[in-house]
Amino acid sequence: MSGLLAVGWQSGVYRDDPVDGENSAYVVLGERMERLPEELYLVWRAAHGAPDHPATRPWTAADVTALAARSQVPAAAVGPALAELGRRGLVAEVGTEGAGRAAFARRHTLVPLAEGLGNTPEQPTVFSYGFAGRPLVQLPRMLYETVALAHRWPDLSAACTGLAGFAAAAGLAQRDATDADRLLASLVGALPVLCSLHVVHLAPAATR
Amino acid sequence: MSAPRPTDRLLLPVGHRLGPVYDVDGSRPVALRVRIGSREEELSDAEASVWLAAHVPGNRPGSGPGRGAEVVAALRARGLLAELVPGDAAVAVARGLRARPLGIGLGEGGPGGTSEVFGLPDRPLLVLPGQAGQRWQTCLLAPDLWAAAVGSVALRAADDDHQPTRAEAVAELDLLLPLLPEVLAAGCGYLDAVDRPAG
Repeated sequence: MSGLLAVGWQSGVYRDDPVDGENSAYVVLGERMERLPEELYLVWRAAHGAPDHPATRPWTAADVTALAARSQVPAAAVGPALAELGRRGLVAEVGTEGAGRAAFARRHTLVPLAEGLGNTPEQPTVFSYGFAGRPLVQLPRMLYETVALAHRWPDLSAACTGLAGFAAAAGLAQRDATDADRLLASLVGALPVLCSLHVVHLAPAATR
Repeated sequence: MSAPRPTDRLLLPVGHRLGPVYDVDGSRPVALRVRIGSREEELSDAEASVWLAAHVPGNRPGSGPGRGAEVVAALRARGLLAELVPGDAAVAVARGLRARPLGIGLGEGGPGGTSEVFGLPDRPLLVLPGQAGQRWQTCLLAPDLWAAAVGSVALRAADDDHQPTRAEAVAELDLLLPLLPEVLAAGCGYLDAVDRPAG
């Protein structure tokens, strides 16, 4: 089973781009800048997931189609747009298990885009990310650490292996923390929420 | 509070804020964690107070009476604060720092649509007029702040083959650095140490 998610950081959206007078958006993808015409951008934006999406289900082309329809993108245009975004590396196939998940993790990393707000004495097992001091999403400790530190490694596979190793060395008992594959599974399940809230963005592996 | 001028020396926080850590018994062994490059730093209450205060434009933590100066010196030694003196002296420090975004770029905005807006789709946090917005965007694409200054000169040159001189890039760096306090205060970016990832 697999889903898909947008890759890259949104640099800006512009009306009447001087390049050709059309509305367009610019996305930073690794070391290069990609220009997206308006409809392609709307599909890329819809490929970020949703804040209330369940971790048990991947973000699929059908979800993208439904979300893009709110921006008046015709359903028939979504498939060709996703194909082009995939060719340009702006959308990733996200396997939710086994070899598909591992392949996604080897090809991508994530970059945090929110401030870590830590935990509170009232809820010491819950950690928050937010903007300008305002919490936006709450995560268990190990996912919080993964969001903060994953980009120290070249890709998500290496990151989960490294972080699970740290957790095991620290004597943590939870297998969700010490088993790299389970940690990756938790992360992949959370990505449609994290990407939609701009807590992280996905990037090609080895993005610094 | 007036924006810093190119002639002002800046004391800026470095690192990605990761918040406090409370134990399950309610104690707080770490006042503030900060990731900087490939390492993580744990700050005491006094250190966290100074590091957070350094995010406020115009603040000069450690310039008054008390232990502030000691704390500033300790944070500078750990790379958590960077002092940037305008002119040639800033180059070495700028080579060791890079800009990273928080939130996303929202595109054009402000009067006449000539500014660049940053933040979240439903929550714009920062409006940078014309060239200031372009300079911040250049910072985000560059591997360090000095490279951003060089790249920014090249972008503005009428001649595509123009090779920026050191003097031109230093002058550009003097225009770029005063943007940073506003961006950091708005929570739309942070400075990071130039470092190699682990693994």
